[in-house]
Amino acid sequence: MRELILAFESSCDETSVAVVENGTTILSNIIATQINSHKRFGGVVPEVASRHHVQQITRCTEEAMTQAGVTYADLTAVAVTYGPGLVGALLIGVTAAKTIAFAHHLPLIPVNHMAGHTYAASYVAPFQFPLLALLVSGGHTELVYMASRYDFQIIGDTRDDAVGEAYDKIGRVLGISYPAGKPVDELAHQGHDTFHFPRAMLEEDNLDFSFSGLKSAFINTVHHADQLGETLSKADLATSFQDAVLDILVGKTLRALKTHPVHQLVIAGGVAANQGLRARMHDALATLSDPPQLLIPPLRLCGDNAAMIGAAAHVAYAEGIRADWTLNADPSLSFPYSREALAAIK
Amino acid sequence: MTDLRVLAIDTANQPLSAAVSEDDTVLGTVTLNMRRTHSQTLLPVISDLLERTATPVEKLERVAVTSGPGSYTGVRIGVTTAKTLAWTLGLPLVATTSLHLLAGNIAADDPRLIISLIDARHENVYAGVYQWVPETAASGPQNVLLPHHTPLAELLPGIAALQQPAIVVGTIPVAYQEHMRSVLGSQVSFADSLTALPSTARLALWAPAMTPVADIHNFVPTYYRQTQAELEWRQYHDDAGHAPYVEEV
Ligand SMILES: Nc1ncnc2c1ncn2[C@@H]1O[C@H](COP(=O)(O)OP(=O)(O)OP(=O)(O)O)[C@@H](O)[C@H]1O
Ligand SMILES: [Mg+2]
Repeated sequence: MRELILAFESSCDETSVAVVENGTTILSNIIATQINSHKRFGGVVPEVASRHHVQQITRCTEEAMTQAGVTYADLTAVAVTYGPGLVGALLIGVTAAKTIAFAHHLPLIPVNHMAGHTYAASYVAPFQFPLLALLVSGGHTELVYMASRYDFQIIGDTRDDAVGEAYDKIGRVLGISYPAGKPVDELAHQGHDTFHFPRAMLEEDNLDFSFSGLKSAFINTVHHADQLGETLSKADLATSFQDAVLDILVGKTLRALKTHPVHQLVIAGGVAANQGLRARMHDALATLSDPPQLLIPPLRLCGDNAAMIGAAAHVAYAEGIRADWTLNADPSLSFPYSREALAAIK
Repeated sequence: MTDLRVLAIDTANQPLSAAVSEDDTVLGTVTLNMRRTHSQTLLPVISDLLERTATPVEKLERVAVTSGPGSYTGVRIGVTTAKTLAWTLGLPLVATTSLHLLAGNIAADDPRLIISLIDARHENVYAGVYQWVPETAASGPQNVLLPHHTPLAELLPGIAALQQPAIVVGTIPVAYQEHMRSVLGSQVSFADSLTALPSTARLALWAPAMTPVADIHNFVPTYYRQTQAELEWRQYHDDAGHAPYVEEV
């Protein structure tokens, strides 16, 4: 039987609506990004984001349905991101999804945005469990262990900034407008690691991350040079920053793989678009005797999009996960922490 | 126009109101005045109301909503629900302001000016002035002074200049009332708190005579105020010639 899920995503600054068939085929994936708007302010302004979402939501839905060539009668269910994210932004997707499910008598599937980012990688190859996911995005830096298809446990987390956030903040110091991840990544391929920024917590015996020390070291280096009237090579700065980031991300992931042997390693979230990260993880796995299969979503599916929500919803639907008409946005929704991760925090 | 079933909703402020009507008869209405998120309450209320008025969604022919002013999130929940429902079922959408809806609570034979007020905090209000005109009563009282956001103190001289007795409707702090009395004296009186609860039953009855929104996709709340970020940006920049703020990629 043909299962068709109409999926909604509006957790931050993209309004996205997709139609996904059987969790594996993207029939449409409309993404309306507000980046040009928030660039004016140097970052996402929540109230502005909510205002844009209201104006985009039905248009994007219409385009998703038309491009997929489906009618409401063809649909199996409606799915929506209900957290984590900006509450006002989430509420637009949640409200629209509930209304459409209600109007057409369809079941409603609530999806955790981070489950969506993870399942974006399932478009590359079917998942095999256990699986480890390195989730790297604007708001998250997590190592997530999946023993089965809808069991997500955080085994490592950032203690401060998310990695994407760190890119955006150091990018600002380099005069690069929001979001800075991609341009910094490009610059990083043109310089050398001359600054040797600190790799926080890399030697510690846990799976947690920290990027605020790296960010501060970067900013102090640039400010110090400014005061002396010196100009530093932007390329060398970017390379030094990215090398430190990659050492941390790859180092902690390899440590996690030692204690948590898995069949597959997923890298997902906006920062999974990073060319350096993709290459470095690939090389690092090649040094292992029995490496897991590396799954990284195609670039279009790394940032926020509804097709990833549809893929996660396909599994959630099979698990019997449903929401009723009281579904609300949950801005601080999180996967549970594993016992070891909880112990490490204490 | 027979059996025209309308669903009307308002979540612009703390109260939540929904109603279903058929032609000139209200089949049912629900009004809640709780500190609850409208997001959790609105659709369950609509679902229940439709069921109890024996109105399958397929039978709806028109959706009506308030487009603000009020709490930004509250207004967006009402507007998003209404525009999505109307669009997905292919129905006309009609809208009015939450101030107009409040003014409708004053009896249609009352000749006074109706001052609708919504508290915008720190001695600011959203204000609109209305008056019943018999010829157009089918779609509510007529607008005399357009809805806007203003410090209360700046609103009052204009009201005084109208030199007509006025009734104030809306949930406002006692201090605002005292301020108004001290400036306007016996020109104003105040409707009671029950009259300040929005009544979508009335909106549902007005809906058949209202002009539908031309482009549902582009229908958004009327905010009356720019965000602080936009205000500051526009001091030094111009929207004209800027790359489109939202782009499909
Ligand atoms: N090539 C890249 N290298 C590094 N970072 C990148 C790259 N491309 C995008 N990013 C970063 O990815 C982030 C956006 O990712 P995403 O859209 O998944 O985050 P988000 O949705 O805002 O946060 P979250 O998913 O945690 O709620 C931004 O911080 C951006 O700078
Ligand atoms: Mg994201």
